[in-house]
Formats: sequence, C-alpha cells, structure tokens
Amino acid sequence: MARKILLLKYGLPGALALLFLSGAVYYLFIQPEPSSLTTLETVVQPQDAGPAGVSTGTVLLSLFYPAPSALPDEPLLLKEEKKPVRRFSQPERQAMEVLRELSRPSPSGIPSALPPEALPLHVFFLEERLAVVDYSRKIQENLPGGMDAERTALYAIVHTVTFNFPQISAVRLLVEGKEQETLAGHFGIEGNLQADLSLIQDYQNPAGNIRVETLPP
Amino acid sequence: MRILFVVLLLLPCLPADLRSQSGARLPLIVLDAGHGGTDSGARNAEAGLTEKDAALSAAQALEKAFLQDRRLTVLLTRTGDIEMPLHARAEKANRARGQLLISIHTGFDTRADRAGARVYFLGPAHLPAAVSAKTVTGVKSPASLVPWAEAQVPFVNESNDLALLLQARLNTPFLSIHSVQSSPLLLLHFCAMPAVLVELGNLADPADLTRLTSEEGRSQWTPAVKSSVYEYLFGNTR
Repeated sequence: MARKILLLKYGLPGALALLFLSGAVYYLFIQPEPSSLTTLETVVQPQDAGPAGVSTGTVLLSLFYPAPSALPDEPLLLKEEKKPVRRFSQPERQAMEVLRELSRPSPSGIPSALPPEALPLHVFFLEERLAVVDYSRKIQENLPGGMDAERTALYAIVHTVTFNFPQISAVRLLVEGKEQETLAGHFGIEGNLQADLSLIQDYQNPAGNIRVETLPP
Repeated sequence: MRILFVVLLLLPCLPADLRSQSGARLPLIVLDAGHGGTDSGARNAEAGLTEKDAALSAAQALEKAFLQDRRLTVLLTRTGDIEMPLHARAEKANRARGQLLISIHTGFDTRADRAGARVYFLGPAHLPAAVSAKTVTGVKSPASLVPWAEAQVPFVNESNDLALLLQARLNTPFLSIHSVQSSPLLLLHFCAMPAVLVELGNLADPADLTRLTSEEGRSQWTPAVKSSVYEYLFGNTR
C-alpha cells in the first residue's frame, strides 16, 4: 500500500518531469534547424555526414528544361520536372546545388537548357527578394546560340530559383562577377529577371508570349 | 564665284546613293548584322558557319540589292567581324535617324519544323511594365525626352506593320508558314524607329543553309525583303 502511495506521490510527477526534460533537450539541442525552403520535401534521410551543417539529406526540387513538344510557331517553352537534390540548410548553398543539377539532363532524359560546363560560381540572396547568380564564362562560350536557346537557358535559371525559394522573386545574372548586356546577343540581363509563366508548358498565359497578328487600335 | 566653282566641282564626288534623281535626300534604312567578334551567335560546326558571318553576308547582300535600285540609302551597323553592344547599334541607328531598322539573325534548331524565316517585333506585351499600361499610339515629339528603354514605344504599331509585310513575303522563298511573333528583344527596345528582327533561316536546315550561303539562294529572298521595305516606305513594291 505504502509502495503504491510512493509511486503515485513521486513516480508520476517524476515521469512527467522526465518527459518535459527530454522534450526540452530535444527542442534545444537535437531538433534540426528549420529550413527556410518552405516548399522542400525531404524524401531521403541523411546519406553522407559531411562537415557540420552542410549536407543533411536529399530534397525534391523543381527544375526547368526545354519542353520537347513546342509547336512550330511558339517560342520554345520550359517544362518543370522534379529532381532529388542534395539538401543544404543554407538557402544560398541549396540554390548553388540545384543550379549545378540544372546543367545535367532531367530525370526523364531531356537535355539541359544550359551547357554541361556552365556552373554557378556564387549565389547570394539579397534583400528585396533578389537572388544574384554568378555563372562561369562557359555559360556564354558554350551556349548553342539562337534566340530560343538563349531564352530557355535564362528562364531555366530564373524559374528554378524563384520556384524553389519563395523568398526570391527576381534573379540578377552575372558572368564571372560582371554584369552583361545579354547572355547571347538577344535578351537583356542587366536588370532583374522575374519568372515568366507564359514560358512554362501548362502555364500558358494568353496575355503573354503569343503570336501577334494585329494590335489593338 | 570661286567658291561656287569649287562646289560645282565637288558635287559629282558626293555618293550617288545619298541623292535621288530629283536631288531630294533618300530615306535611310539601317541593316544590323547580329552578333560579331567573340559573340558568334548560333553555330553549325559541320557546315563551318556561324550566325555572325551569315548575318553579315546577308546584310551586305541586301545593302547591295537596295543600292542598285537607288530608292534609299543603307547604313550597316557593322561592316566587319567586330563585337558591338546592342545599345551601340541602336545609338548608331538613332543618330543617323533611320526610317527603319532590320536586325538580321539566323536560328539554329535541329527540329525540322523550325526551318524558314521568322520575324519578330516588340509587341505591347513585352514593353517595359511602366509603359505597357499607357496607349501605344504615343507622342513622337522630339522635344520630349524619351527614356532609352522606351524608345520603341511610339513605334510599336509601325514595327508590327513592317514585321507583317516581311513575314508574309519571306514565307514564300523560305517555304515556311510562320507568323509574326512578339519578343522582348533588347535591341528593339532602344530603337527610335520601326524596328524588327528577322531570323533568315535556320543554320541546322540544309535548304536554309543553301539560301544563306549561295548567290542563287540569296537571290530568292532579297527581293522579298526589298519589296516589303518599299511597300512599307513608299506604299508600292517598285
């Protein structure tokens, strides 16, 4: 009887205290740092330890590739594909990683809009929702040329960054740290580039990039 | 008297193409050969042809064809293999007060349905956000200062007219059925005149390659460009 009383008197509060303590320890020391990538979905648990705070698993991200089924009179569109990418806790490092993946073929085998040698050198997230992406010169030297190739390369980058990082609404593209007038002679990149949904397959916007026969008076 | 004699002596030395038979100054058109220098544009490695070279050859062939007719004068933005920023090309055209600008490019796409000539202009959907809400029938007063990036705004309708004429006429020699497209091309933003960009064929297409590189091929499409320009400027094709 006395054992029962002792158990009720000290055992229950003790168990509750233990539960509270373990919760506090988990919250303070064990819980992983919350990601700022609100749309990221962890699909695989940590695969390689690496230096502390670097790679913590794999995430499924949206990457953009030239859509193979564009109609003859439409500009080449982009197609979204999900791809597992190494996960990083720091958003800028994560952006570097997804842009590195963007230079490789899509999971369904679509060749990238970017040359395989075109790799990002730096990515900075600035205030006012701007990401600065600095590429190696190979992006200009090895781009196949032509308006369609240039535009798909540009917007593959812009959409891949803005779709995966909701805190970013525009991208400033640099080549080896310097602003360029264009990437390949057609489209201006001196300003901030925003996502253009009319260039994404299945996102066609009738007010956007469609053929124009006549103009309103 | 002596001055008059010198002037009369020098008169024949003036370029004939600057004056019409009646002595009035002829309209000036600007032909811009795309790319140049380290910017080769599209490349067909197998054929050993780059877009910058194809565009310059096409521009020079057109210049020759236009000058033969003596109905207008021609300014080429570049005459050699030099790198030239787009704003410098537009500045050259704007300073010369060209009546229109045609920027000559080529495409490169291995898909068969991408062959042929394609004409682009800067449509209302691609104007700078700040001006797209305004009417495009804007004022062309030289007294008002126009921001560099909005130079094309007052000419959108004229550019569309020129683009439609060129596309309709180029479809025949290039055996294509393409329609005019609006595209946010940087050069067109800066042009204070009707301006279009023409992709004169696809470097990946063997038939288009022949049209671009052979004398016979060029003779198929130069009349199409000439008649479009004449109709646009003078209201008739000859």
